[in-house]
Amino acid sequence: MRTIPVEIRGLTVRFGHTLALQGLDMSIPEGEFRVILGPSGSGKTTILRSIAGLIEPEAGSIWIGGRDVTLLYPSERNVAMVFQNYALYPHMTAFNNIALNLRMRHLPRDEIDRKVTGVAELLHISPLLDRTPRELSGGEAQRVGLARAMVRDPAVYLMDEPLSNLDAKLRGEMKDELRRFHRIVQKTIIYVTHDQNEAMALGDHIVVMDRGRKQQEGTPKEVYDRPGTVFVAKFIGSPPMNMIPARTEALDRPRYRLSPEGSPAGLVLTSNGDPLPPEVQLGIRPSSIRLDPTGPWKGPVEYTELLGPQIEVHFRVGTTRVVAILPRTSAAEGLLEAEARKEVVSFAVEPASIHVFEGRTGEALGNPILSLQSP
Amino acid sequence: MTDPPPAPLVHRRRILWRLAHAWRQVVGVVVMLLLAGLYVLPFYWMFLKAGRDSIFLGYPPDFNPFSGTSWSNFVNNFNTVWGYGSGIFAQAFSNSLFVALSVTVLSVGFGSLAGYAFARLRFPGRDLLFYLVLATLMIPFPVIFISNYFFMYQLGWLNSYQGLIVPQVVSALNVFIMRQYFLTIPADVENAAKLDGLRPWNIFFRISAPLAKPAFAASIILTFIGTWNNFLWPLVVSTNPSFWTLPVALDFFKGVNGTQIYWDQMMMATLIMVVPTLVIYAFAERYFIQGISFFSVKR
Amino acid sequence: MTARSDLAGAEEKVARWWRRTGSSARAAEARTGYLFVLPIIALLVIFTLYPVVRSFYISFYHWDPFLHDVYFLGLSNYYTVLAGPATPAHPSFDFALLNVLYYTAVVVSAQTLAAFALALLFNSRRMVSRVTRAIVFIPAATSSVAMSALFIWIFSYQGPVNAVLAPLRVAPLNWFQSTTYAFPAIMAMNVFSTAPYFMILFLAGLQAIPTSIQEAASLDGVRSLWHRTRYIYFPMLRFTTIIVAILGITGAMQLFDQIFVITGGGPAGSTYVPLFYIYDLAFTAQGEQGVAAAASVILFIIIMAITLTQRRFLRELSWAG
Repeated sequence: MRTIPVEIRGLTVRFGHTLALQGLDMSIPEGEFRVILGPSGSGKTTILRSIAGLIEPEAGSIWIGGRDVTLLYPSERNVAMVFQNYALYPHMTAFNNIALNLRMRHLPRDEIDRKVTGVAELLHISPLLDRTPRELSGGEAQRVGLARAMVRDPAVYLMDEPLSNLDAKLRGEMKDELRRFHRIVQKTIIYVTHDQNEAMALGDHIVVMDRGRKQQEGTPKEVYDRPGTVFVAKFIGSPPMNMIPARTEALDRPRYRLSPEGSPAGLVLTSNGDPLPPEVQLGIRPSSIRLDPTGPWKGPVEYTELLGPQIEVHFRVGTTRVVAILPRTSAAEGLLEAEARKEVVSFAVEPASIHVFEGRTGEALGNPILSLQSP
Repeated sequence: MTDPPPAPLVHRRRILWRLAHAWRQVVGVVVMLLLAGLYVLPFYWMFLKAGRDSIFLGYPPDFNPFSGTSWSNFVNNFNTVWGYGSGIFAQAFSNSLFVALSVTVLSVGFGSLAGYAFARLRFPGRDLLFYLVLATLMIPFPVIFISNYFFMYQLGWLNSYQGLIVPQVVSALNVFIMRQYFLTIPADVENAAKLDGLRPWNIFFRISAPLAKPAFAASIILTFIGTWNNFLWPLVVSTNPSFWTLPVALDFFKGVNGTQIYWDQMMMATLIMVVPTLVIYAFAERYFIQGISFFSVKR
Repeated sequence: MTARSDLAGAEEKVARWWRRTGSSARAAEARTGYLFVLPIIALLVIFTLYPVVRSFYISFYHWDPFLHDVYFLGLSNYYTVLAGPATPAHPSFDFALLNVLYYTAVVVSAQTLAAFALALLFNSRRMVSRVTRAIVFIPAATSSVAMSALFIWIFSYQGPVNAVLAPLRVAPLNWFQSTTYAFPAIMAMNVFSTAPYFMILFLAGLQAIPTSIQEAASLDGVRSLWHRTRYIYFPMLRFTTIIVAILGITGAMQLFDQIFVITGGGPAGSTYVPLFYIYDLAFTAQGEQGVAAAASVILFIIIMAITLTQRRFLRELSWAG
């Protein structure tokens, strides 16, 4: 069977004077659950709407299954879309909402009936078919939205933040529902969200967008474990990765003196041999920090918060505030009182888990640190 | 990865699609311009004819601004119309202005007070009273005006400014526009003022009314233009020419010369009547349209 | 939300507040409330509600207060209106009523369709469309008497309608003096003047349709203007359409200004309408005011009946409340 990949080549979209997308390339193999993740204004929805044909791009092309669809009408592209606010036709019953597309293609009535009831059964919405959208709850409305997309059996499903209008509990249920949905249809899903948890939970493959440019592409694990840029590092993970700006000064290779910004005392760093630029940003996940009286990092405690099984502690290192998530040990609980005294504590970070980024460009340099000590 | 060869079919479609799209745009614009021309035509001719010296219509109708339309004719016609009789028309103009302004001030003032009370203040019987206002929107004018005429007669208000103004102040529409708008202003703004110790009266004048400027603008313009153009009530209540408003005077003007209409003067009279509303409309089109759109909003 | 449920919710809130708030603050707020609604309610009762009642009252009397000639007649005025034949002074009421019903049927359907079409045409935010729309809308701000004055020329013997029809070998005609064509000419004029007014209502409705619905429609292949109108615009504008129809019908049934200015009900009664009949009896005839009041009550009942059936229709149809 011929596969139906989605290819985006050099896609540029401009709204007035602002560039929404700048020469974007992306390739999505058939059957993948691809998540496009980014903050608002990053261009993620623009990609989706360009694929759907709701926007005409300024340059570039979109290929679906080896066919240039850039200028085809939305309904001719063999794609279906699920909207954030469901976009159900308010004057039609759920059945007619689902059936409208088939009617427009002049399918025989009994075939329409068969298809709609079949899809409704798969998505457990058979009892809702006679209701109008205003008689549906958010979750039910979104299921009808999914059914409306599914009934056409499109090559590609486009989903524009379909869960963001739902409350937290329902969102969890719908996440499972969407995974099940992907297993049933086994078609390409391109899913746009600003919620990293949704992205991690659903995506086979994530694309992180910022200001109209692709920041990183990879599996959820890759994106989390090896963020390619400072932006990705800060965007994914909660609380976000700590970024400590620092200067390096070569001692005898591969040893460097490392001075975090605003910190009087430097540290001695041994790298794996890769040369380090004079300005770097050190990325440290809150969960990779541990208390260690002999540790090389020192700073006053500024804020603590009990999160239940864990304790969130904010230290100050130089001019930077560092957030740590500590397991609830007695030493860590001691810090809850240390806050008022601004007590200075020491902590350590496994050197191999420190991400190093180029200071100005924010490009990742990997995890080149072998050891880190007080001088 | 190499590009798949471009599909010629798609390219041909692309061109056709673009052409069709452009064609539709062009047709749309042409139709819009034609319609605008059609709607401008009567007014254009009104201006032309008001500046001619011929009382007759020509056939076929002449739209050439250079044949016979001149500034001096325009001024002459204006003077003739303005000074007609013992200044009936000038009197009608100032009557219209006075009546429309008075009705606007009173109607928008009372309407905004009531609209605010219905939207924000709580008092027993509020909803009943609101239903009462709602119901009056459905009462057609014919069933009111005969009794009101006799009422005016009893009050001695026939041929008087009170008689022209007071019955026209009742406007359920202004109450609605105001209520609807006040409902959209976040209540927290007023709650904050309440905590600052402002009385309801002060909250209205200092906080809410200034926030409702667009609703005031829409009400003011709708009421002014509506009153300026109103015909039947002034026709009934003022039989004495010194209390005529412009529409009544204009209707009289049409018949003043027996069967022969003096077109230049007639059009000048129409122009004098229409220009003020056109000027207001030109400056406040947005609010005028907002006021009218109010009906299509679900309530 | 319907006005009713909206109000019911508000009522409940008021009751809760009433129980909770201290009595002096509550009294102060209530006092201000009454003060604020007092002027408009007073005017409304005196100049709208009381006159309705009084019209009913007058309709049972021979009414000529100027000559102190007032006495009870019972239903005789209604009999005169409904069964009275045409007199040399004026045509009969049922004739006028048939005229206005004919007028209403033609004008309301034509202007509603035209307004809908205009709204589809002008539904764009481009400069051309905004400017031309503002021009087309001018008649809505113009006095009906002034429009009538202009249209006397447009349909006159030397007017542009004849000039346009001349190449089609239609003999020129003085439209408003023809028993056949005067009424259709008035209809055309009023469709021309009021369609843009109702276009604004449709435009507001069109612009309230969410973009995502339009997008969902293009993905579903609802593509041509006809399909969009049939499946999306028209059903979603049902509420607006009925409002337009109600406003149109109530307006058309009260046709007066144009008739008074242009034809005076003629020629030969061909443009005679009920409000003109009422005006004639009340203000030009002597001692017929009671009959005029009876006629106005009948007209009122007819308009109310039409409006109420449409309101019911509206409630049944409204999909978004």
